[in-house]
Amino acid sequence: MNAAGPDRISTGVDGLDEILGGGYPHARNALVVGQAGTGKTLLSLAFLVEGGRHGERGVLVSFDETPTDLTDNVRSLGWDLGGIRIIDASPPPEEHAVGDQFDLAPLLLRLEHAIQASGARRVVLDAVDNFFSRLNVGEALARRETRRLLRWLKERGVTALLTVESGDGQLTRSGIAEYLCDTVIVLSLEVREHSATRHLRVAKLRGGRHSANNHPFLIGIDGPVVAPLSSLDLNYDVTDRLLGIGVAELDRMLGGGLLQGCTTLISGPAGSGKSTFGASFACAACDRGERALLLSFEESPEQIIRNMASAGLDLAAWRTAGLLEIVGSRPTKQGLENHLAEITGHVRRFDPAVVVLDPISCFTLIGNRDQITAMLIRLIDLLKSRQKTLLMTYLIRHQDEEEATALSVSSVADVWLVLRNVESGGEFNHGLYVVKNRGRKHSNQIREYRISDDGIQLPPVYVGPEGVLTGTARVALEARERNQRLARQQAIEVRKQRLAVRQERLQREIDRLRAEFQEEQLGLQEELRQLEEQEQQNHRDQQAMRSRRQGDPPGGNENP
Amino acid sequence: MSRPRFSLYLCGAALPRNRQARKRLETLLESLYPEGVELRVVDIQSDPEAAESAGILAAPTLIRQWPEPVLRIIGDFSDADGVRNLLE
Repeated sequence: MNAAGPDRISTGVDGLDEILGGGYPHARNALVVGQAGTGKTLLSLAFLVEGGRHGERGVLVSFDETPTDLTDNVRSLGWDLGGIRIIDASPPPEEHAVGDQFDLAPLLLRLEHAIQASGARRVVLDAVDNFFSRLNVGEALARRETRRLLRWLKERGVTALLTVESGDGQLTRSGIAEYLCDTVIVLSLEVREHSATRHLRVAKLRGGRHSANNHPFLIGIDGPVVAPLSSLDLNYDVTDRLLGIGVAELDRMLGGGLLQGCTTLISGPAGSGKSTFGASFACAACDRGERALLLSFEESPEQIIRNMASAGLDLAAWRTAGLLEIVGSRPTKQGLENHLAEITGHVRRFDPAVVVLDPISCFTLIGNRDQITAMLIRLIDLLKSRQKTLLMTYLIRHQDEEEATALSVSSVADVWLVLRNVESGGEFNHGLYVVKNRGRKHSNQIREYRISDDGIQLPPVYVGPEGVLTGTARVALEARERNQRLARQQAIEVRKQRLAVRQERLQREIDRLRAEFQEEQLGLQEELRQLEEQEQQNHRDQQAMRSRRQGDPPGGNENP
Repeated sequence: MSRPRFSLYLCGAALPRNRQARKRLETLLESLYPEGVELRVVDIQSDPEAAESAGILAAPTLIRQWPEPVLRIIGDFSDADGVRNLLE
């Protein structure tokens, strides 16, 4: 082991390598703890399947499911377990343990045989606690045999993954497995309002720094995915590259466009053309030869393509060119955390330069304002750290809403553009203005805009008939006052959130220190126990030797 | 009329604790089946394939093949009553 810690070996789980600083520590062991149904087996199988992709052999000891069941379970993910040697340790009928004078030597022999025959570097022991609990093994024996197993695995130089069920098992009750293993990953499952949300947390990483965050964990169509929250500090690279929205006049209002890596919110009532602005931004990216990801929570890709064609935007062509990906995702199909994981998965896979979410107000169906904001903060963290530019739209149903939910969401945005239906001079027009453009200058004019089959247009500022001019002037004044009020409220909101985030980080730090202390305590207790055991053993050996010297002829024949 | 059939899987048959376990089992079987039994002793140290095919994870393991049901008992037979209860 060098100063940088042990080498890493890929986990096969999107996002988990990042959280662990490259993967599981090589030639060490990792423990995966979680209740039934949290995805322990899948997480560990992903590790073996990933090895197979790189020509690395793996051995699986399954204490719970039979090889047939395992193969059936992962078939829907398109996984092939063909290259993996499976030792079937599932419970046979009529198996009983009497007393606790036995050991796992046969298992180790079989494992040795399998490792040598296949040249395996990756080993998984799935549901290892199952064996101890089905035989009613006491805590002392379970501890002794687990310790022996782990030492043995380490001597073989293989990277091993053990899964155990959390709760009252012999290995988890006293925290002994957590203490013995180098890395500990905790999986959890929460069911809220009919949608299940899984989380993954790295509780321990010997010889490496890690964050103690709960990361959303999703079982996607081709395997498990983790959405890593960005690291503890918010150090993003800052660029001054400006990205156009595809509407020249609007870019000019924003001082040249949107900064790369920034987050923009466009809010507006129904029919104001929010989606068109989003699509225009995506097309502008494609125009520059960059990839764009458009996620719609309201409409199907085909609907969007048809709607935008009438605004002069040819999404179909960009999609065919491979620069645009349109994903339709119903908000109610899963919880917020899983949406986050899904979006993250798309971002990793497609690696777009710009991401459009349309509209995020749909999330009010599955979460409250704070939950939505928290999720967005995490998504924005990820996108910012990768210099990806985000644009999200928000549907305002009533004017009052603008100052409540949208305000909270807008506080995480760098740029906020408001679309309005402006009624003046007996006309009903679309108007837009820039509420904020963080760190940059912007126009504070209200501008009229029109959407036609030539796209979005901002006609020259009104200097026409007097009635309209006064009308516009009045609206502008009102808007300015409104802007100032919003800005004040926003400042308060931002401070509140910053405080909450700091508080949370502090709490995590406290938790981490406490966990470290507990581990140290366990370690000392364990060492003490070992010393005592050894002492007793020495005593017994001495007695045995003494009695044998009396009973056996000199030059005895056997090893003690 | 065939006799009850047993297989005993040990890891290192020559080790004192395993010899003792075997002796305890033989005594127990004699008292349970005065007409005699068929006992096969397998040392998986020298025959790992046997552990593989019989699905042995721990040692000592006793398998009763006949009479049915097939029964597995893991332990060193120091709790004679416990073993007897399962076999009877």
